[in-house]
Amino acid sequence: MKVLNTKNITKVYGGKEDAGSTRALDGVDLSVEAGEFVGVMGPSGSGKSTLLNILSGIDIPTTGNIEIDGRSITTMSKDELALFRRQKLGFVFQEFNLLDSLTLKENVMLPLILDKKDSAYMEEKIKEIMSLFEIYHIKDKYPHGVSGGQQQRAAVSRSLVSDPAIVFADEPTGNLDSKSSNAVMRLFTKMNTERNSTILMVTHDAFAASFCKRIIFIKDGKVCMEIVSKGDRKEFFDRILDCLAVIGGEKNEI
Amino acid sequence: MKFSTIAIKNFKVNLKKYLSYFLCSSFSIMLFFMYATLLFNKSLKDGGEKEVINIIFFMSLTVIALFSVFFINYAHTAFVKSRYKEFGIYMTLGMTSKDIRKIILIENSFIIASSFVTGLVSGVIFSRLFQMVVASILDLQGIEYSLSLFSFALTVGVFAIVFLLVLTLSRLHTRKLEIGELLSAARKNEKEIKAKLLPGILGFVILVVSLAAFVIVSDNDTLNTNPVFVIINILLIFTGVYLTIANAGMAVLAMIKGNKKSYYQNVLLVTEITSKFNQNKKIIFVLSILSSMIVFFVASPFSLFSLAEKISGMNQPNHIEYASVYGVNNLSDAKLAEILKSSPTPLEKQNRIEFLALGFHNDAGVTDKMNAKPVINVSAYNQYTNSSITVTNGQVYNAIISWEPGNFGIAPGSMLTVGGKKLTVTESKRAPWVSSSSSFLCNSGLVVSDEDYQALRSANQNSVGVFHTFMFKDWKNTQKTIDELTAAVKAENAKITPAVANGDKLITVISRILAYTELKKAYSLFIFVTAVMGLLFFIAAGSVLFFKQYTETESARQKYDKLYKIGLVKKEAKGIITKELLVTFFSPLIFGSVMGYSFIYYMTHLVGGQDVMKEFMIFATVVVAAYFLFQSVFFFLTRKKYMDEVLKKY
Ligand SMILES: Nc1ncnc2c1ncn2[C@@H]1O[C@H](COP(=O)(O)OP(=O)(O)O)[C@@H](O)[C@H]1O
Ligand SMILES: [Mg+2]
Repeated sequence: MKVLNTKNITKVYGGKEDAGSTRALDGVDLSVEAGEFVGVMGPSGSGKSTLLNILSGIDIPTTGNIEIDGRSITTMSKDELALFRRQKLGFVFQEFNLLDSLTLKENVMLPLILDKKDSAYMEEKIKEIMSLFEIYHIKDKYPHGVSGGQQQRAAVSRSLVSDPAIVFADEPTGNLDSKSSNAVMRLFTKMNTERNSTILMVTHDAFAASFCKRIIFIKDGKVCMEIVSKGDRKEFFDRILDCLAVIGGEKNEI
Repeated sequence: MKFSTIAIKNFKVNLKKYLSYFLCSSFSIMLFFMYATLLFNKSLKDGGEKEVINIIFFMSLTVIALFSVFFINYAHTAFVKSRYKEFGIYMTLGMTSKDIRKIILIENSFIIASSFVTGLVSGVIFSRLFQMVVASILDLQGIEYSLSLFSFALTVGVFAIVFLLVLTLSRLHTRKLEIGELLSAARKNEKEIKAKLLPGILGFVILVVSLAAFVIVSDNDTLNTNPVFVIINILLIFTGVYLTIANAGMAVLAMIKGNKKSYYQNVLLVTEITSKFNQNKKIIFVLSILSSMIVFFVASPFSLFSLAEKISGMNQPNHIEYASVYGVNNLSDAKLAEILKSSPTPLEKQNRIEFLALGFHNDAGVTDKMNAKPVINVSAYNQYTNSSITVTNGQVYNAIISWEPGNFGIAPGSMLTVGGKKLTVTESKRAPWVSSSSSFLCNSGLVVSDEDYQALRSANQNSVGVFHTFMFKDWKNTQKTIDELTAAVKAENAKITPAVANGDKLITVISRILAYTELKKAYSLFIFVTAVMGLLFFIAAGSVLFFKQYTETESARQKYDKLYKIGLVKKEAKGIITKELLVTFFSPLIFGSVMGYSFIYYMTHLVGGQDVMKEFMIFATVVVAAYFLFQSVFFFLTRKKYMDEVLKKY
């Protein structure tokens, strides 16, 4: 089943097509099946974040259509979109975006709270997910009192708590050291294999990308290559590096 | 767990943000209420100078209300902005912008309700003190402390409107919140600034030209009483200041960029200062206006107060004077001599100056309560005013005594019919006169040739009057003589027919000491009201600066963290922060002082021109100096706090 399907998305920043405008996306076709773990890679400025923002309804495409879980989000009103986001989409950001004033548990719970779920259900859900990601024991701590890796795990937990159809992650390891980064990527793999979550992750880190099952490379706003893992991470990692070398990615950053 | 639990929790954590908004609102409400209670104090109202007080307090209330809109709006916006990240997260998790607006509204309702309670309660407490101070300044006995229901109603009503306005403005802003913008709000740095010299120069030229024009307008007796000219000119000055501030960033950049070497050496500092001007142009502009008001409001009443003696001397050239005309104030020589002899301070000079009170019809005469102007002959005029003008037959010289708006109806060259005789006006200008404008209520007096005077005199026998003027050794010691004279004149007037006697309400005994006392009284009220207003603006300006720094702390820290990583040393960071703060703290003060000086310059011309200029300028300078001093203290305190916060990593 297709969870995400897009047709010819373009995005032009800065109004009309003139000298001052930027064509950040130039006709992107993309489709993601349920249970897939897809990575999006490309040099910086290639339009990765723009793509993610548009797919998740945070930004509006200039042209093109996006279908998630069988519904077209480009025709939704703002309110419909908000509700849709709440129930069907999960987000993980590079900056974690946790509220400093809430404990980790409350942060993770927030989507359920907004959806007015009953307490027993929430408690149960929280316990399940936070235990899975090994942060249940620090559930009453505040974001500033835990490590970046733990914050990101809370953010990942939050993205999953409402059982979304798809989770979008924008450089989730961008602010983490290699150890935490490794842990978080294992987490994504875990949620993909154990919970069968569908994940679309943007990254420029080949190591993080090697956890994915499929990688889409974009350059200058266009999809230019696509590779699929054969199951061996080391082998996949090497192939990613080769692809980056071809499209002129940021090899030296790895 | 419900969302309200989260909301309450957030409220507790963000208390500091709520607090400043709450304090601003409470403070404005308290202040307004204090003035309102005074306006509606019953015993104060019955206390005589009803009209002046009403006008002054009414004006104060208007200013406070207008100011509150700005002040509360500012605090509100800062408050909402500081929570953008939080709102952004809510929205990615599926809240609509409608939900966000609902949160804003609910939180605001709480803040507003508690501000009303706090503001009114503290207002009740402080207004007691306030009323006592005002009563003692006005020297009003038996003023009772009273709280009228109406002052509560007015305060609540006015602030309901203020908050409604602020919330409406805020809704316009938050109507289309975008997640991306919200999440990056704290991170979002300045827009790109182009390096352009011209707009900045243009703004500066407009400023300088409009200031010069203002000086010219102030100096010109015809223009400076024309409200249209004055208002347009002031607006032009504001425009000049705004354009200068708004384009200063681009101009600085353009000037520095010309020199590549110094640009690269100071690139951080230059971009920082440029962006300060750019991001904060509105704040700097508003602060400039506030500063000019502070200078003007504090300096002018103090100058007036210290000038009371001089001004009363100018308005009342004679220590005591009265006019006897139309049979009114017809005191016998014997009685007069008797009163003068018993004066505690010796009489030094006494004049009897004959004049004709001649009917007069012209637009300019509207403000002349007698519908007549005093006319004297040129020899008497030159003798008693120490002048040396010449007026030939058929001519008339118009000496303007008291300057009121709309009082320039007699132009040189026009024809006047005075006492049945046609005369040509040779000159019409501010000039000394033998009496003040109050002993025979008029705005100007006429001087004719000796020959014309004789002719007019024989044709208008009933209009012959006499100005009695007296100078004493010590005019401050003349109260007893004045009281006796007033009583004697009153007794005399009681004997004449009521029809004529109505005139005695207008033709009274005038004295410098009375004018002086009245002036002092009026000025002390003026000082009090405007000083409070100045203080208010001072607090407001300070709070705005404080909020600004406060809301910027986080993004500044992130920036300096980054700079730290790339090797900016502490000393350099401190230097940049200091200079950047100097811009926000002192550029409004500089613009404000320049404007303040020009408003005061204008003011002196309304009050009395060159004669009082020195005092006004001295006071203005004292106020400006004190202001700079306060601001410096404030600057150093803020800088320390800000640096401690921003440069934590260093
Ligand atoms: N809000 C924006 N306004 C204008 N241009 C933008 C905006 N966001 C991104 N861009 C431009 O679009 C292009 C793609 O940006 P982005 O999607 O952030 O790239 P990536 O995430 O791959 O580094 C870049 O050229 C960038 O400058
Ligand atoms: Mg990006």
